[in-house]
Amino acid sequence: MSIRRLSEATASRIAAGEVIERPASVVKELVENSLDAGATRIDIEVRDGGMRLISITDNGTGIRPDEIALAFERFATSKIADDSELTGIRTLGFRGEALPSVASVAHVEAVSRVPIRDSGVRIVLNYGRVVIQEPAAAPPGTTVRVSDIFRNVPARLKFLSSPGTELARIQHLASILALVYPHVAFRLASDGAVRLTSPGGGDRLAAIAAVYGSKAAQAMLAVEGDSTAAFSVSGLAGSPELARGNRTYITLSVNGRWVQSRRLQFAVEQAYLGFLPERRYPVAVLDVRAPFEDIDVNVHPAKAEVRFLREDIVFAEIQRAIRRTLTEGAHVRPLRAPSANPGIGGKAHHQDDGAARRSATTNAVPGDPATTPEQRLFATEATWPIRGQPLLSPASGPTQQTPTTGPAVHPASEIGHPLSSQTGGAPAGKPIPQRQVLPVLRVVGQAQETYILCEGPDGVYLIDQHAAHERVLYEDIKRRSAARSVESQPLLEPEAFDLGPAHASFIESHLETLSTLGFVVEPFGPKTALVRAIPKLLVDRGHGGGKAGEWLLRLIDESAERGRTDSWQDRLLYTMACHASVRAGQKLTNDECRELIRQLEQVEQPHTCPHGRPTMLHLNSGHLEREFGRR
Amino acid sequence: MWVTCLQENLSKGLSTVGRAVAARATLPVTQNVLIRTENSRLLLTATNLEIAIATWIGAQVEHEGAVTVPARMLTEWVNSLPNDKVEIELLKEQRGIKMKCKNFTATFNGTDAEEFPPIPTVKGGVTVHIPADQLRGALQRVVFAAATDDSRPVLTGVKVDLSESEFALAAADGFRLATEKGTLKEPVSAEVGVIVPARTMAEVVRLIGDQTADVEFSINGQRSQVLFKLDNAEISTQLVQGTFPDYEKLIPTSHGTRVKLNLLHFQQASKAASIFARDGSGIIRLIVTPGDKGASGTVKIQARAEELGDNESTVEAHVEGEASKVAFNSRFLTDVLNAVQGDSIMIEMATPSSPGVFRAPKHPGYTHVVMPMFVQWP
Repeated sequence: MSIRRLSEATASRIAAGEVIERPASVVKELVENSLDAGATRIDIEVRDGGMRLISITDNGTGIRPDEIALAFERFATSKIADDSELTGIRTLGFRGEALPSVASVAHVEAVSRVPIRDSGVRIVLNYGRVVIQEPAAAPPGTTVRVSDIFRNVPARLKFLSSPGTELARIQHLASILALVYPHVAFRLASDGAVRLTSPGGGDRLAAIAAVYGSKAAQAMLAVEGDSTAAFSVSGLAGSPELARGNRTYITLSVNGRWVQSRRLQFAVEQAYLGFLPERRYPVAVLDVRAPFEDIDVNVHPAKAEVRFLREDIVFAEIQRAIRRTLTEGAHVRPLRAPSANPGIGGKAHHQDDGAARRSATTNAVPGDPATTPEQRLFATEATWPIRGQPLLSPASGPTQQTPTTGPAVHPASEIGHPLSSQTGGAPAGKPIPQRQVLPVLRVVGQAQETYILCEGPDGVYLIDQHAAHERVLYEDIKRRSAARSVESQPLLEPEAFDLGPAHASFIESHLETLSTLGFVVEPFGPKTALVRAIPKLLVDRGHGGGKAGEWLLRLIDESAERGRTDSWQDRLLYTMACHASVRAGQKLTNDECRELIRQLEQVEQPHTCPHGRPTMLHLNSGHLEREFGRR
Repeated sequence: MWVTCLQENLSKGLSTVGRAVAARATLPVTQNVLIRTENSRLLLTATNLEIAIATWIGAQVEHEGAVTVPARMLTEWVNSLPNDKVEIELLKEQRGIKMKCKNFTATFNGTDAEEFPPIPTVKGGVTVHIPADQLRGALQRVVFAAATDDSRPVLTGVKVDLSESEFALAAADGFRLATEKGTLKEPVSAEVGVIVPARTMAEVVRLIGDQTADVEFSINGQRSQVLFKLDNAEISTQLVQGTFPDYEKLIPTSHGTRVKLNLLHFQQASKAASIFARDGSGIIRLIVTPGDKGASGTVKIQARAEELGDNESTVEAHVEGEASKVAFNSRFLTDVLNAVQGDSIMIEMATPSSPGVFRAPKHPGYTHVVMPMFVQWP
C-alpha cells in the first residue's frame, strides 16, 4: 500500500477524536466556549446520556452572522491572534478546535445573536458540512444543539457506555463546572428531568450546597489565600469529618480553569495528612492563582492537565493554606443522632454520599426551612451565612466566624480572634496559625478499658485512650526529633539485618535522619546493616529491640510504594508512637487518665491520632438535652 | 467419704499450684485443678501446658480416686472457710466433688481426671542439686533482666549452664545482661545449657520460699523439659528453644576506671535522681572523679527534667583509675541497685559509650552489664 495524504474529512475526524471522546467532552468544550463568551447562565440539556442530543444554551456575547461559518473551521478562534499569546492564555479555549471537532462527528445546529443586533443567525452542519446558514430570530447568546454524535464514527460509537453511565459523566462534569464557576448559574436537564441547578452569583458555598448538599456546605471551611502574593490558594476545604471514600470530591482550578491534576490533588491529600484516616479523602473546591506566564495549559488535547513552571511553590502554598485552615477550624466531631447512626462507637461520621447526591439533584437550598429535623440537629447553632458574601468577602466584621459544627468547643478560637478577616487589608496582617485548644476536661472514668469519659464545659467527651496517647507520643517524638533530642538506647549486641539492593542505598543515604529518630544504624557489608541503638522511648515501653530491623525494612518497602502521601519518617514516627502507646483494653487508673488528658491538652492537634482516626467524640449538652427530651 | 484434710493445708496447696492454672484456656480443662490421692496424701496439679506445678498435702485417704474441678472457684471457696477439717466426697462417675467443712457445704462439678493433660515426666537426662538459698538469690538477681516482649523469644528465658561443679544463670533483654555463677552439690555428668522461661523462674523463686534443703534440678534426655523438685512442690516446664547469645563475650574484659561505692548511699542518690529522670528523659548521669593523692574520690549523680529542674548528689567513692563519666537509663540503674545486697557495689567502666559492669562483693559470682545511653556531655 502506498502512502497517501488523508482526506480533509478523515484528518479532521482523527483530530476530533483527541478532543471529543464521548458526550461529556462535547459538553465540556461547548460550556467552555459559553464561559469564554462571558455567559452567566448556562443550560445543558441532554437526551439518552447525550447520545441522542446535547443542547447548550448560554446568555453570552454570541457570534456575528458573518463569522459563524468560520467558527466551525479548524484553527479558527477569536481568542488568540498568534502563537506569542499562547504563553499567557486567560481564556478556556484558544486552539479553535472545539466547534469543528464537534461538528465533524455529529449533526450540529447553532443559533446565535449578538445582543446589540436585532436578529441572529442559524447554521446547520451535517458531520462537518454546512447545509443551512440563514438569518433567524433568537434570544441574545448562543444555543448549540449536537445530535446523533459519532454516527459517522462507528468505532467510537461502539466504545460509548450505556446512556446512564454517559449521563453520570456529564452530571459529574456539570457539578464540577458549577463548583469551579460559581458566578454562572448552571442547569442540567436530562430527558426532561432537572438533575442539577446552581444559583450562580459567585457564591462558591451556595454552589457546594447545590452540588453536594447543604450538610456538606455547612462543614466547609474557608481557605483564604493572600491575594497580594503571586501564588495563592483560595476556596473551600471540607472539615475532616466530611471525608469521602474517593478522590472525586477534590475539585481544583488554576486561575479559574478547571484542571485534573494528579499532582495538585496529591498536594491537597497531603495537606489533610493526619486529619483523615487512611483511604479517606477530603471534599475541597480550590482555586490556585498563579501568574499566567507560569502556566502551560497547552499540554493535553482536552486541556485537562496543566504544567507549572514553579510547581514546588504551588505545592507548598496549597499545603500551607489548607493546613492553616484545618488547624484553625478543626474541631471535635460531634456525635451523630442515634437515629442517623445508632451506637456511639464505630464509624460515627461516615457521610452518605448517595444522600448528598440525591439532595444535590433536588436542589436543596441551604438554610431552607424545609430541611429535615435531622439535618437541623447537626447544623451549627448559629447557622452560618450561605447566601450573600460574608464567608469569602474580605471583611465582614472583626470576628469573622470559622464554620464549625461544634462552635462551643473552641471558645478560644471564637472569642475575638480575628482569624483571617483582614486579608483584604495590607499584606502584613497574616494570621498566626493558632494552636487549637481543648476545653478543660474533667475525667469521669474509664469505660471498657478503652475510652476515657470526660466532662467539659459543653457536654461529655469520649476519648479513645490509644488514639489519644498515640497523638501525644507522636508529637513528642516529632518535636524531639526536630530538636535532635530523641534519646537512643544502645543495644547490648547490635542486631544485624539483611538488606535487599533497594534497602542498602536507602539506609546509606538516610543514616543521619535515622539517628535523629533514635535509630543508630550502620552498614555492615553490602547486604547487611547493624542496628546499634533504638529510641529509648520504645525501650521504656518494654520493647526489646528485636524487631527494629524488620520495621525499618517494612518502612523502606512501603516508601517505594506509589501513591503514599506521607513520608517514611512520618510513618516511622507513627509506628513508634503506636507501639509505645497504651493499648485498648489496658486498665488505667484515674491518675493515669488525668495525666493523659493533661498531655492531650498540650498537643498541637488533639482531635485526631497520627493516622487520622478521631481521638474523641463529643456529645454536646444541647444534644443531650434534646435526646432526653429536656428541651 | 473420699478424703479428709485440713482447710489450712488445702488452701496452701491450692495457692501453690494456682499460678500454673491457665488464665485464658484454649483447653478448658486447664482451668481446673487435678486432685488425686497418692500414698495417703493428696496430690494437687495445675498446668497451662507450658508450666505445671504439683504439690502434696497430708490427708486421710479412705479410697483411691482422682477428679478435676474448677481451680479458681475451689480456691476462693476454700479460702473463705474456717480453719477446720474438710471432708471431700467424690461424686458418682468422678464427675465432681462434694465438700463439707463445719456448717459449710459445696458441690463442684468437674471432669474425669483422664481428661487432664498428662504432665510430662523429666527423665533420662541430667540431674543436679543446688543449695536452695543460692539458687533463690541468684535467680532474684538475674531474672528481672530478661526481656518482657517476645520480639526475640530466647531473651524471655534464663539461660542455665551446667558444667562440672558449676552452674551459671544469665538473662538479657537486649540492653543489659545479668549473670551469676554458683557451685553445684556434686559435679554434673555432662555439660549442658538450656533456656528456662523467666516466668517459670519467678515461680521457682516464689515456691523456694524459706526452704533450706537442696533443690533438685533435672533436664530430660531430649532437652525439652526441666523439673525443679522442691520440698513440697514440683515445677516442670517446657524450655525455650533457640540459641542464647554468647553472653560471656558481651562482658568487657578491661576497664579504665573502677569505682566502689557505699550501696545504701548510692541507692539513695539514684532514687533522688530518678525523680527528676522520670519527668525528663529518664537518664541518670554519673561523673566519677578520682581523689587526690590517695584521698577518696567522688561520684556525682545527676538527672535533669527539661524545663522543670535538675538535681545532683555526690557520693564518696573509692576510685581506681581515671576520671570518667557515663549515663544510664534510670530504670536499668535502679533495677541493679535494688537487686544486690551488702555494703557496697562496684562499677567498672571504660568510655562513656562502653558498657558499665556492676559487681557486688557480697555476691562474688554476680556480674551485671548495662549499655550506657548516648548523650551529649557538656
